[in-house]
Amino acid sequence: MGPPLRLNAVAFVSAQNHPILIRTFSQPKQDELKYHYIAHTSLDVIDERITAAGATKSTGCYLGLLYVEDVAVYGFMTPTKVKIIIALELSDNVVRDADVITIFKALHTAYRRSVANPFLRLNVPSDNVTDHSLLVAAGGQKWKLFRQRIDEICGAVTLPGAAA
Amino acid sequence: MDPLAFASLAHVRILLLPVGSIKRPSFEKWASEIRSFDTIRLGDIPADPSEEKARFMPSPLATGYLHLSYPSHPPPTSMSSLQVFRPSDFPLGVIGVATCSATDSLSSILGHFNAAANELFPPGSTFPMARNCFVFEESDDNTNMNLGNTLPGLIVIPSMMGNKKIYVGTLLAELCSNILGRFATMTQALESPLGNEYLNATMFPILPSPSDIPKPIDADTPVRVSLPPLPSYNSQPELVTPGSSLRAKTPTPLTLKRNSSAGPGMPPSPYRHNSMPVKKRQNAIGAVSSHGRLFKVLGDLFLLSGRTLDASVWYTEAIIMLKNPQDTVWHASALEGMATVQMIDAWSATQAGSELSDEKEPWSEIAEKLVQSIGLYAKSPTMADGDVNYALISYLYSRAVLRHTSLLYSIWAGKGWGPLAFSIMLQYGLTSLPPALSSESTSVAEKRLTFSGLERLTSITGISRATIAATLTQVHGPWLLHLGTRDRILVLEAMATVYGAIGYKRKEAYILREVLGCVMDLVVCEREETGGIRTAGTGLGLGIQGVNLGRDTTRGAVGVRENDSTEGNQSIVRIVKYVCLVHGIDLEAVRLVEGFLLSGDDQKEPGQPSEDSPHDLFGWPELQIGIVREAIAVAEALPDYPSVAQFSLSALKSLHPVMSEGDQHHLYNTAARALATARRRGDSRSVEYWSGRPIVSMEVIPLPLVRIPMEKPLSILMQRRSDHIPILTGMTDPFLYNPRKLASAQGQAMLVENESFDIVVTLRNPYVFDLELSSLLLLTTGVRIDTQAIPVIIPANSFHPVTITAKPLEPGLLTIRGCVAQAPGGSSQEFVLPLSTEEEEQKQSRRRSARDCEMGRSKYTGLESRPWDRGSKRASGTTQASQKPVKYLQCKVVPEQPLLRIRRTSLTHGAVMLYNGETTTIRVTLENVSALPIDFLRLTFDDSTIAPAQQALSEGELTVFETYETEYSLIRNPVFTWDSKRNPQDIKPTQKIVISVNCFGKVGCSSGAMHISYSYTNRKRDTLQEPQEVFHTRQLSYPVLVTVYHMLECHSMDILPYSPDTVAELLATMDESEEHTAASRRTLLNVSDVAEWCIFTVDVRNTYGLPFEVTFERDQPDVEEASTTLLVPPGSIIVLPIKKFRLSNEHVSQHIPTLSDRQFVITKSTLTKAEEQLQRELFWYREEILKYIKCSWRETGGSRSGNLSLRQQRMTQLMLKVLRTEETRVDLSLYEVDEDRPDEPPQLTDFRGGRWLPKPNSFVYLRTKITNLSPETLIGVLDLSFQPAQHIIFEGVSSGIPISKLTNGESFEVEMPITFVSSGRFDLTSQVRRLGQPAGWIGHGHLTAIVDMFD
Repeated sequence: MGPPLRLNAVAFVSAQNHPILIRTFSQPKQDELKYHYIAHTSLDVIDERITAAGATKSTGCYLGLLYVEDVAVYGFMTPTKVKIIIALELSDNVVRDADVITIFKALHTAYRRSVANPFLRLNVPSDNVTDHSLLVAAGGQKWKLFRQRIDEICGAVTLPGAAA
Repeated sequence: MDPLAFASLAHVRILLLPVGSIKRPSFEKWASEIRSFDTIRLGDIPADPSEEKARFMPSPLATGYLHLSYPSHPPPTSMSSLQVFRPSDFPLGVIGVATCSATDSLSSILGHFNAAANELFPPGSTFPMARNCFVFEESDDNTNMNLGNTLPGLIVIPSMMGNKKIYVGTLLAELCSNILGRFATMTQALESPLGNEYLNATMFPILPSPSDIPKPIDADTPVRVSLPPLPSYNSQPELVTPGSSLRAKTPTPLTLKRNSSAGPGMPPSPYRHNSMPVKKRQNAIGAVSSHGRLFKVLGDLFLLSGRTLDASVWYTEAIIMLKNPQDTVWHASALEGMATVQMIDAWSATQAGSELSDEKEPWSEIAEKLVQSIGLYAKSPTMADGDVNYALISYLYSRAVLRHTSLLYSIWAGKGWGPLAFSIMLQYGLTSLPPALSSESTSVAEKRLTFSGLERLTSITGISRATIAATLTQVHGPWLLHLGTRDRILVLEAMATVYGAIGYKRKEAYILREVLGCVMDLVVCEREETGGIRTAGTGLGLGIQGVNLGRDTTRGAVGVRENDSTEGNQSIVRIVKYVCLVHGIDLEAVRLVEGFLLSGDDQKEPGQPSEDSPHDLFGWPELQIGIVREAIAVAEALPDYPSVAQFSLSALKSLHPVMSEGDQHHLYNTAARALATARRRGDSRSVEYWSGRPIVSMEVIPLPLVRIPMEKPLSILMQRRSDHIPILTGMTDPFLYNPRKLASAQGQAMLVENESFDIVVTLRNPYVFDLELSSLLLLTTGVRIDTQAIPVIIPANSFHPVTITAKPLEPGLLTIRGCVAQAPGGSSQEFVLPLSTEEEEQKQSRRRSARDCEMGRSKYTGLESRPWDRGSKRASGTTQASQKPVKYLQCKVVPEQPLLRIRRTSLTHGAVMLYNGETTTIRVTLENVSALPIDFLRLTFDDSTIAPAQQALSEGELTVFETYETEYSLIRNPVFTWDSKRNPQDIKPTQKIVISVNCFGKVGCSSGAMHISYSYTNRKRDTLQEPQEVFHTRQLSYPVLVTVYHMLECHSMDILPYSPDTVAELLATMDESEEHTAASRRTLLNVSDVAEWCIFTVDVRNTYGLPFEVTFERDQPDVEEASTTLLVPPGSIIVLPIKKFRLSNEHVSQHIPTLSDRQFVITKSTLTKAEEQLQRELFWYREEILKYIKCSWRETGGSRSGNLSLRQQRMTQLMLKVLRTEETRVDLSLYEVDEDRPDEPPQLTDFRGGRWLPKPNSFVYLRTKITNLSPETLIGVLDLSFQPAQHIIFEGVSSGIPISKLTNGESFEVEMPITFVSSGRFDLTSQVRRLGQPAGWIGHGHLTAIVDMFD
């Protein structure tokens, strides 16, 4: 395990580019909107990466480092086209892709388990149930467990050793 | 041409300045003429004769180019300290563009030009180095021409000059030559030791003023003298000197020279000496300074002069020298210069036609230099003097980053390292879009490449968009705050453009927001300043105008409110809209319209997806709402009130599902306020109606029953058919399916001219606030109507019905297409509401399901899936609605109709109480309350007995006989009757008439109604044209509550033969107490010939409490009338003799008639022929007897009377037999001959009590008289029989006695002598039968004889 990474924000974006959940962990809590914008603007890069990946027939979910501003933004796209974007605080240490992928996989698992919640369908009108609205609903205010899992992952990333 | 072009370091900037009263279009025209020269070949530049100026002059055979750029604005004053550091950022020349006009003399033009130039460039500044004013003559009739050529610094270009372009080119070359000459002067100043001190004094030195330059530098001193002996210089003299000396030797005196060359010499002199503020540290720094900076300046100047070789030499020197004492900024700048040189060289190579090197990434060296320079800028020391440095360093840093980006971008966009990329780098900056991109796209509106296009460029060039973006990202940081707003805007703008061009639209939008922030800062600041200092007058901020408003001083005490300058607002609004579009908000969902014009939504399909589908939300609600707030804030700050309203309403329209209540309220109020303000300020724009389709449905409320006109064919009036028919069949259509009726029934309401009608419009409000419509108006075509717009407030989140009243003004067809709705402050909008046909419904539901199906699909991701983009791509958008003409709600307006009302009736509480069979009269007073007369009045009735009877009839299960009875009851005995002949038909306006209606008490009737139809048929016609086939009636209904008491009941009708027994029996049942009744009955029963009569009896029962007097009357032809009256109770049996009769065979064999004209009556009976015949006989005899006997009742002690019906009674075969006269009548009688007088005719034997009393043992004649009563001729035989036969002796045969042929009424007598030989009772009978028919007698006679032997 490399040096500790500081995870500033995690964003889940649906296939239709609707935000599912955006969690920020950076200390000044008020700049949540900033991460909204970061997630939103990184979609540009993700679009490009996806096309590039499509051209080379690569099948990996990991999209790599998207861009660096005051944070380093990494992207990941699940097979169902849900995009996971994380913002890592810049540090002088080398960030290994393997570590980032581990984080992404953990986040993906958390999302998968949350979507699998059968009670998600509870309040969705049955005639108009598309998977799409369902997936977005997973990030809703009501489902606390998803947030909890994300928070746990973040905690594990920040505290070295626990992540393993 | 752009300030941010990659090659901007090599651009000689020439500011174009409008002078005098030149019109904008003509300025643009000439400016573009001048701008078309973006390069000037070095060879074209005229040499300057003087030696000192020749240093930067190109050699006549030089192959390079001078690159020109023509900014339209001078640099900001904050940049002035970069004068030496980066001369390329300053306009080196100024060209005034003026036109000749009759009002301006050339001298005044020159004056204007000089004034403007002096204002822009404070006296004493180094730049511009040359200026000139071009006066373009636009028309031939110019009289000021004579002055023209004498003024220095002014060149008149005559209109008749043929090839202006070449001339202008020459002039430009001359200007450039002047500039180059001035370069030399500048260098001279710097090369002096003092100049060098100046150069090294601060990080960004300024040029020493000429006054500070020590004397030795005068015009004649050769440049070389003042230069310190530098090895580097000496190593290169041959490059400089030969050129300059060559130039000096070959002066090219041109005739035009005196005009053009006057510029550089003249202007500086008055100003330069006056002020040179910066002198401060010239002595503080030691005299020994490195010459690195000087070399860099030289490099810059050579680069500008188009001599790249020299430039690169000096740059190399400079870099070496600047490295050691860590002069990072200058070092970085030199690196930038080197990069530019390399690029220019590459460009020159392509211009010359030589091949490009085959390296993989030929630009890597340039890029490397730039990266290096960026790095140097970034870590440049910040200790230097004051805060100004931060701004400048940030500026330089940003420029370097942008330059790097520009390099990558140009290569990417130019499809590789080639001419295209070079020309982009040379000419286009980042803020303008290179033509290579825009030419590829097909539509003008969408100038962006498609995704695949972007990727293709990447794969061609090997530069990924991420690389460009990553480079560009470096510029974005907190240091931007150090920049002046103008520069910041420039940098951000460039960033946004690049992001946009490489397809990073979200990032572009993000940056654009920051641009907006800067711009809005300026706008707000400007407003505060102008608010505080009114005298400032000239526009600060963005628009730099050299216009001096002289009238400001004369303003006096009058309070003047300046109109806000709205220039540029549109562009800002456009940016706002674009940003919102990227975030998935269509701020133009509600359009702005000019004025309050009515706009139709004809082009809108009724079922547009966005209207009725559950809104398919796109995007990121958290961001969207924030963005919308920003957008509104921007529009409010501008202020652009219509846009504020437009944004708020659009946001409401498209985002209301995700908005909180507070936000919705806020936006709605904001919009309302903004609209009010806009109107107050006289803005002619307003928003169109915004809230989707508010109208859900429309429905014409049918007129009240009394007002509905009913269409009747005129033919009804002509043929007066029996009015009863409709009652029977209940007005059924002969066709089971009548398409015409169906079509007419749908959507065609009847309205009456000049009578108002109501329409219910259902409105919908999906928002959480009460939606206000300032007016709601019907949209109709066809007949003119009189209606008024009404204001409506629709409660939050609800459907709200509104009633609109209108009045058609003429007859015809009225089509109600929809409504025109107007929100407060907005413009009106038509909403068309077609009738939903089955087909259309189907189509819509199909489309809806298609949409639902596509809802979750994500074939198009990202920005391509914005609602408005997606609609066109999806299959659901492509299924077109049928082109069938849409149908609208239609009403038929008929001509004005009279109106009648029931004033009063004779009934109390509309109820009538009757005994069964009683008839009463109801009087109804009608009043014509209209101005039209009524000439047609018809009454129809309905009662509760009709419907069940009709039902029974239509079921067809009744027997023929029952059918007849039912029909009879319906037709002959209706509850209500009315005599149209006796009642008046015409009612004049305001007249009252009384009509009487008879009401007949029929058991089972509980209620009824009279319908009074009336009309004005014989109207005056204005024209001769054929009157319509129809007329219209109105109907007035009056319900009547009917109570019928059932009190008398007839049963057990019987017909008895007249025999003594029966009479006696009947008399016996008579109540003995009523003597006179009995007596009268006895007389009644007393008939002349018993055989011709029969007795009709019926039992009458009273089920009511009161006694009634019942009277039966006989009214038989050929018989005197008779009647019997009985009080019931106590009496019950009615007895009445009836004379027998016989109906003809033809009569009897008729079918039982149907009273109605019903068709398709199928005889269902399965009776045999004989049975059927019998049924008919029974029917017809009964009919006859009911005709003869009338029965009525009277209330004892009261005045009420009525009829009693016998129709419930049935006739049996036995009764028929009695009633019917036989075919033959056989009379038996006995005669006896007096034995004493045998010659006398025989006498009738004694007859007493119905018995004959002959004498025994004497001859008696039995006479049998046979009379043929039937209409046919009878040939028959007679059979006689005697009982007991053994005691009678007779002569002849007793059976088969022939009778002669008897026609009708003839009789035949047969006599037979007989003798009774015993005493006792004898029965003699005779039977007549037809000849040849042993069975079945047709006539029968009987005689009883009592013989007494012992008499």
